[in-house]
Amino acid sequence: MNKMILGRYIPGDSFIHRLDPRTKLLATFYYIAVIFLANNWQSYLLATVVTLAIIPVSKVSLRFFLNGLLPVLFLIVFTVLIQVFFTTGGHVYWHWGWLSVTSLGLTNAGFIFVRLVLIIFMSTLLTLTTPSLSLADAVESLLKPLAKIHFPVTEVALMLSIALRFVPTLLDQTTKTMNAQRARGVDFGSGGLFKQVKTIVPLFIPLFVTAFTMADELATAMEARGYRDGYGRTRFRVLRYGRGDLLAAVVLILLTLGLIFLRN
Amino acid sequence: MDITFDHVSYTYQANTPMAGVGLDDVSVTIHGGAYTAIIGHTGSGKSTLLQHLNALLKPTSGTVRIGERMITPSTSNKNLHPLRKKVGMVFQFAESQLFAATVREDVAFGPRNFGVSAEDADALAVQMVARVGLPEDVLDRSPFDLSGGQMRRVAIAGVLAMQPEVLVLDEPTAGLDPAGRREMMALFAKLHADGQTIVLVTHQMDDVADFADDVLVMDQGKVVRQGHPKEIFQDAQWLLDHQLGLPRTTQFALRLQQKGFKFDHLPLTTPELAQMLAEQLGGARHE
Amino acid sequence: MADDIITVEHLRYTYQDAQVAALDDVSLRVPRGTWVSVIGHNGSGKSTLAKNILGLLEPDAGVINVDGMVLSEETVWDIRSRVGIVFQNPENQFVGATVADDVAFGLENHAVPREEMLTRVDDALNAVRMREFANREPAHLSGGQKQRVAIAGVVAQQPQIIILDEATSMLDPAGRKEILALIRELKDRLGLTVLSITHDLDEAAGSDQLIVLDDGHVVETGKPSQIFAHGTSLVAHGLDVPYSQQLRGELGKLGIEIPGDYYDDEGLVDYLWTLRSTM
Repeated sequence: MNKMILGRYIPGDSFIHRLDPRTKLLATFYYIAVIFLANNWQSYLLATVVTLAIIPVSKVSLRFFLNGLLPVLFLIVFTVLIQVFFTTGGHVYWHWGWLSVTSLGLTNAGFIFVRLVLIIFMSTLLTLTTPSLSLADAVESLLKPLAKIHFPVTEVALMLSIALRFVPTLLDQTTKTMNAQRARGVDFGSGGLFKQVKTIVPLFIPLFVTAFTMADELATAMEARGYRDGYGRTRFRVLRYGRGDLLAAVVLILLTLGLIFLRN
Repeated sequence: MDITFDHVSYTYQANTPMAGVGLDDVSVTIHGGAYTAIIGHTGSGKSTLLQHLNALLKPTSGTVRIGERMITPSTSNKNLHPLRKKVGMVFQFAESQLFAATVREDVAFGPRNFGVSAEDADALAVQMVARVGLPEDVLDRSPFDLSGGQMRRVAIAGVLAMQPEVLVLDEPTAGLDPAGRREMMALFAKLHADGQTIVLVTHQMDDVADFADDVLVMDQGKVVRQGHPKEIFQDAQWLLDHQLGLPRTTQFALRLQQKGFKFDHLPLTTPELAQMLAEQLGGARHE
Repeated sequence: MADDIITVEHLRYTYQDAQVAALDDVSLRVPRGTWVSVIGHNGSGKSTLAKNILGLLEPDAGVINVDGMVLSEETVWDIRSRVGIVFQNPENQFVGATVADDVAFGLENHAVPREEMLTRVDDALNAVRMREFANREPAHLSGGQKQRVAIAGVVAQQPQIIILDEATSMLDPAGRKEILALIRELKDRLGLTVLSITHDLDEAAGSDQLIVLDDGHVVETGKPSQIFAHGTSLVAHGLDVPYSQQLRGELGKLGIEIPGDYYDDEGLVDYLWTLRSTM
């Protein structure tokens, strides 16, 4: 659990680490969209080359990117198999009932495999090089226009950043509570379903109680330090675009043009 | 029942770049019947050591022998039940483990997990609530309606109800006020007098001096000293160098020494120091 | 009397659903520039008092005056900007995602311009010697370090008063000593008034004035030496007796009576040495 939520960010000072989080967030979404332009081996080759060229810039070991594939491995294999067996067209290599393996099926499967891996690499790049707090800042900044229609952007952003800040605290408390109950003879993660469900109570009630105390004390501390919602606050943390962000935009535009040029 | 560590090392998040040493080649015995104190500054490996006492953690290398049971790096996580029953563990701020609707149910929870019948577990709950000095009428109240100090006692009763051979206490007086602390330490002293083996992790050197008969000093994942409090606290300078405190009496005696008093050994308790002073000042009162 | 920075008169506060008042007819004064400790056992009402002074709880009766302002709905925000508070639990008062963010939190609330905020955060972190931790996340800090960040948050706010609500009770002895030394240093350097709420007598011994609270009442007020002189009443109020008094008691049992009201550790060492030298 810890690894999924937190262990993702790898601190560093690479060009990609230093990019504005808004740039990284928007670029990742843009990349996911633009990769659908690729539809032949030339365009996929270009996308692959560009992606593999970007990854080393982050100075994060390729191992972390490959690890990023693991949680979605099943999904990838499943999608690829569907393409292999259910796409028809071109030369037929094998046939059984409504299952068939055809040349078009294999090509499509290959393309989809590459596309999925590239998309996962790029989103992994985002999470490996951007702390979750910066992502929250980026979301806030990008949602700012919504304030005009009275959506409480700053309040939601503060809530989000506090939630993120307390994730490690709550995980720590979970470990402590599990240890305490284990010491009283609870076996977490063994026995039948009924037995499993029963172990939830001695874990979750103490956690809820702790979380409520925490929330209560935090609210008191915030109020004592002058926080009142809906009241004009200044901001300590601000985001600024830099020269690198421009460069990133240029790379994406070139990739788009290249894909349009190479596709059928 | 003895607990023996034989060349035990433990590494956190082994095989990752974030690996950190928790224990480093620890060989030590905690004797049955003793009142053992474990001291060391924050991060010295105390809590890692503690979690080996009932196999919440297993060594990365070496073996831990808990009574008849051997725990090695390859020990399976199954069948650790008998161990958990033998070594009762009271964690820091133990009140945060309470969950049941009534004190009675919460205290009976441990024994029930170890297969004690509902009836016997309830009898244990009644007995242990009394033993920790709570009035009988709390039994059917919600633990969450009690004061912080009372909740801590309920949690301790819950561990005692497992009738462990070894009672491990991690900073059991943290956050209590002076009266609460005194009562809590008196409770453990009484349990020890009744034959309970006690392991106490603490920063309170006065408690070590007053109650323990064996002290383990931890530093950087190693047990760097073991001995009777009288020996351990003689080397005051060494303890101060290792960012460990001294009992108040020993501190005071050191100040007297700096002034010019001579003591053949450093005292640990107030009556002991008073006695030593009385011998040196004996003549003064006859003036 | 003109220069009491905090005055509390006949304060009464009762928690919802409680039968008895947590504070009952509490009156006290804190002279500007002093260190006043409120001591009492857990549940004696001392933290409730701190929360009333900051307007975090609304009293049933009584008048609270802080830095010349009577506490009311209109003045509460002004008062909060002049009073910094450090609570007991280091974890549950850390609002920011990083050290610098947390120090800035109070300044953001008081709408301090960003340029000024940058220097004030930096200065405050410097004052508590946590500057190199500015970008750390709270999960990677010890309890003592988190409390230093909380103090930096107070310092950045440039208050007149700092309230310590059992701020050291969850720290180990080394952390406790460090935090107290830091507060003492900041008090002198910044001319602060300190109101410390504690059950640690070592902490209270260094204050200018002690207020003993028990069951919601002020039971004693005076200099530490006056209050420590009759230590047995402290035990009755669920507190400890200072070490020097304990030793005096033990010496008394052995027939060595030490005259005078109260000696602190140093005073007693001196006395004993003089006694020995005159033999």
